[in-house]
Amino acid sequence: MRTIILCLLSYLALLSHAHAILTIEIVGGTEEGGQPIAIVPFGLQTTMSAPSQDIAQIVSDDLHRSGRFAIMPVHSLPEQPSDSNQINYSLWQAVGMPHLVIGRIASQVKNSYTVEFELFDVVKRQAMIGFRYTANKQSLREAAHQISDEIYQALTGERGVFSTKIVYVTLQRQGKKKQYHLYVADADGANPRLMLKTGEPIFSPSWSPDGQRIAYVTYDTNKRTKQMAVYIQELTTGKRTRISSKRGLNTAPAWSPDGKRLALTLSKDGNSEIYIINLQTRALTRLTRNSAIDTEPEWSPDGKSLVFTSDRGGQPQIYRISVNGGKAQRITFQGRYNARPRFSPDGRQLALLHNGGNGYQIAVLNLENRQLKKLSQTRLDESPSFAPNGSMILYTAGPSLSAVSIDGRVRQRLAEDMGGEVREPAWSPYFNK
Amino acid sequence: MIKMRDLVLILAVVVLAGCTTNKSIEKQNPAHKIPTSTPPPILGDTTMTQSVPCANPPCDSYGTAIGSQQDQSSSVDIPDRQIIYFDYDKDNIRPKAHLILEEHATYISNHPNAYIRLEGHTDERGSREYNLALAERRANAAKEVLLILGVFENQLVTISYGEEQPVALEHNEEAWQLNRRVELIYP
Repeated sequence: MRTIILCLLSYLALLSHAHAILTIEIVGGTEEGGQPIAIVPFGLQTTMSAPSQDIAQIVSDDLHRSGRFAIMPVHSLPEQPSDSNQINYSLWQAVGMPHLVIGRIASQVKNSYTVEFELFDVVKRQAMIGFRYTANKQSLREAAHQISDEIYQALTGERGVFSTKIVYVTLQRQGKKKQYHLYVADADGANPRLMLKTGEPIFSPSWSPDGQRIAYVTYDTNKRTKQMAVYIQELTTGKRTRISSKRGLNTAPAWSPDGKRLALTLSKDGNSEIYIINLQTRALTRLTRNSAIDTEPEWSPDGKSLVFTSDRGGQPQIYRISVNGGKAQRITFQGRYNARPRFSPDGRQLALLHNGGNGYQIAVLNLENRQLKKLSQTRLDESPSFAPNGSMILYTAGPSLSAVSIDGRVRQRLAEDMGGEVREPAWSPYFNK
Repeated sequence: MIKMRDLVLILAVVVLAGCTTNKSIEKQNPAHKIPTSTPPPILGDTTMTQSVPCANPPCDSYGTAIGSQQDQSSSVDIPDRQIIYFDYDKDNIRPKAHLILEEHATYISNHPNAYIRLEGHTDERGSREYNLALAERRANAAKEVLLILGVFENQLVTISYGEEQPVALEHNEEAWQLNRRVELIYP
């Protein structure tokens, strides 16, 4: 067995409990087709009191939300072993269960836990994987997500996203007063961490490729007027830097894959155009020249081109342009409104906001066969963002967030528990590549 | 933020337009005086595209207002109508909006120390960032008209709020029309 010591990131200690948290509700989809799996409640060392986090439950929730698994309900489990020599394989075979997860938690020192789990192939009657983690009270949840990642990868062959994060904006209305918050939370909505609180709107949060910084837009206020500005904020220190506050628009920041440049929309020259700013030298390069609206740039994963929204053809559609400029090629032709493109991690698909006459919905455009597939069913959707493994898309649906598996099979709704609006989600990249 | 005067205007417009869907707004019948000139029904505005601004007062209420303001320029109040409305995904100035901008051009030209903040807005539909660009185009379109009407550029500032500050929170065509607007604010 391999031992993984969880590094407790410094900011975890700064977590505040008073913040609104996102609550997740599975709203659609089916478990049919998901791989059956049994996750037995983890055994506890006899002398210890139960830890604050139910590891098996967190793992079950993670795997369930991925849409790839059908989790056996706890009350249906034929037995609840916590050690491999306790497993009666014929009981599991009798109920047709191919995979079984068991585990145990021990605590020798106060606020220090050892968590072990094993995944078994019931037919072969042998362990597939097994790991031991050392964690404290604050990192137990993270250990559970890492267990979910291991199981997901062992059984699907793909990397899991349970240890990643999301960033989003919330809006609380108190009469005429508005309060905007920028939060970073775990991918399941737990552990929200406040990044910014302001009375001014916050737009377009965007992760740096290394997951260490977030770019976003808000307004600077002074006596005479308000001015839009693009900021970059560091996750660990909270330090923020103003990147652009030109006259007019300063919107839609998008990181280059190498993290050294930011594409953004400025209207300093009179019309909304796409520019690239070198974050080291602050040199600005203009990419588009068109009297129409050009905005919402997004880099291709290879860094060679960008896609963006333009209404140069009379309606908003997606165009592609070389990072060196030149002529832009239109790439969406279906529907009267296609905007806010986001590349899938493999660069083969674009998630976008689509209106084909039935409201504003999230769709995925396959860039190889040009097929467009609608993934959302509501009419006022916005802001799609791919999970870093491409398995799910997170987006805004009215006052809450929704996540849908890329095959459309599983849907979940993430609402703010304090009744505010939550919007503009962006799924983080992997923190260790 | 929307001022009481704007709210009164919207109320008047909604009531006069005969919209029955906007109950939450209609219920708040204001104690304040409704502007004396009759605001047009917003939703019927697209039918006005062929009408020509009236040059000869008092053939309509706007013409009257402009004429009277020019006569008593220094004492006249800030024009009552401080919101102009737009078509879906468009930034062109409707004839009615042009008349309102003329009132403001007259006022601001006679008050060289005042300035106007043109705040552009869209309805909630579509992409948030695209809407920021669209709302800015609307504010700039209003600014261009004011410049043509002789207003000095240093008396005008623009800002875009996109879909961020709706005045009507319902999700229907009436609310969307009220939200597709540029507000002329005298800070």
